[in-house]
Amino acid sequence: MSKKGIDIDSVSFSYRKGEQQLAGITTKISQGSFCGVTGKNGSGKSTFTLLLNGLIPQQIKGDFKGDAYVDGINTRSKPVAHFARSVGMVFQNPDFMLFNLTVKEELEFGLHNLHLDKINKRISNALEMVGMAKYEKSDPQTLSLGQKQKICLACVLAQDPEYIVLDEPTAMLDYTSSLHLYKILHQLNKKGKTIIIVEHDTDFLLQYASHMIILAAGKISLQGKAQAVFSKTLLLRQSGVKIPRPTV
Amino acid sequence: MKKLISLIIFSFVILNLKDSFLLSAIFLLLLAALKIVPSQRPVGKRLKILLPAGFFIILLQLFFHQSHDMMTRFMFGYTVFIRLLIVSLSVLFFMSVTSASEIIAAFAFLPKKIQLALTMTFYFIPTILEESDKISMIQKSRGLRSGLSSISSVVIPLLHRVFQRAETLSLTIVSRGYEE
Repeated sequence: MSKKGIDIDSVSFSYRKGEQQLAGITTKISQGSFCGVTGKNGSGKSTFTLLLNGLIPQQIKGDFKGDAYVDGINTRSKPVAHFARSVGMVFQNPDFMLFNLTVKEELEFGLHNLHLDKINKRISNALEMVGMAKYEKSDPQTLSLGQKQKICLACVLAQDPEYIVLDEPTAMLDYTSSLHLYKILHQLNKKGKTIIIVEHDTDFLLQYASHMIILAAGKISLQGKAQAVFSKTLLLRQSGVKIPRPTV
Repeated sequence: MKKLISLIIFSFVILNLKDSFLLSAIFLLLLAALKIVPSQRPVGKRLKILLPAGFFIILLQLFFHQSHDMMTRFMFGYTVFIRLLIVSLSVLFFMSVTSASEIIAAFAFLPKKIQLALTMTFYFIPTILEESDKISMIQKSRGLRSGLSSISSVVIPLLHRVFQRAETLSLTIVSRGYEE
């Protein structure tokens, strides 16, 4: 098992008996890659993201088999807070993630938990990166959905994790906001961050992802370099994935 | 903090005031104030809930305290009811002029863990009200009529949404390094 990157080794998971969400998943997400994860509704995409920082099996109980490693450390061996330093998670609905009084406090929350230093510098840098610097003192609940999603990303960026996991971040965004978000992610990826993104819009994935994982009924039906995966149109159709249109 | 203390003192004074005319005047003043301040929840809706309770309180007073004459018993019931109305509307007024952030900020002296629990509670109250309004609107558009039998069609989806929200929030907190 190589040290850097995220390794998923024969992982199966079910919340309840007889309802298997993930069935024998084995994959490796290399450090510095831009990994897209797609598949039909209920194919196990969101469950897959919860493996990546140990939320499954530590926080979410169920029938878990196999092993997941972050930089060579088994996600069962240390608390989720340990992996929070290296794996940042952005969930699908930003409304469900923000609960503090100001944007600044929202960003501070994770930094205090992880005992990180240079808090103010980290906050201003993270907000600057997502173009939300002037909202530092705003109440997160008064922001638009797109702005909230950027704040959620800023919360993760402030912690400076190696891996950034996003679960359908564009599901509630319009095209322009989605494109802006992808441009930010692309910039982060160029700076060396590993991006793992669950997405239905394969057009974005074709444009930005370097590596693809296609899930179907809890199994990986296709994986590899993005261009190679997207060229297998028949298999994509069988997995219920939209064939992306190449950008002009 | 000042607003919260004022509300507590005001409620204490109202609960100890016995002059029904003065109480009626305060009630009318509060109604007028709520007309000026845009309220989060309509005043009519609040009164609609309280009126049956008031009717019940007055009725109880008429049946008991038989040693007093009818008018005294009625006025006694009325005073209790008007107090209830004033306290309820003053809370409504307080909520209309105070943001959740201000309310939570008033508890800054508490330990961090308790503050976090309070923040989440305050965050959840308006969220639940908002969600229940949305679900009720959706169910009405599907032909739901008001009544006891209709409660489950609002409560069940509401519980699902609330649990889903709470679960995601809990996962978010843990994935941002929070440890018990």
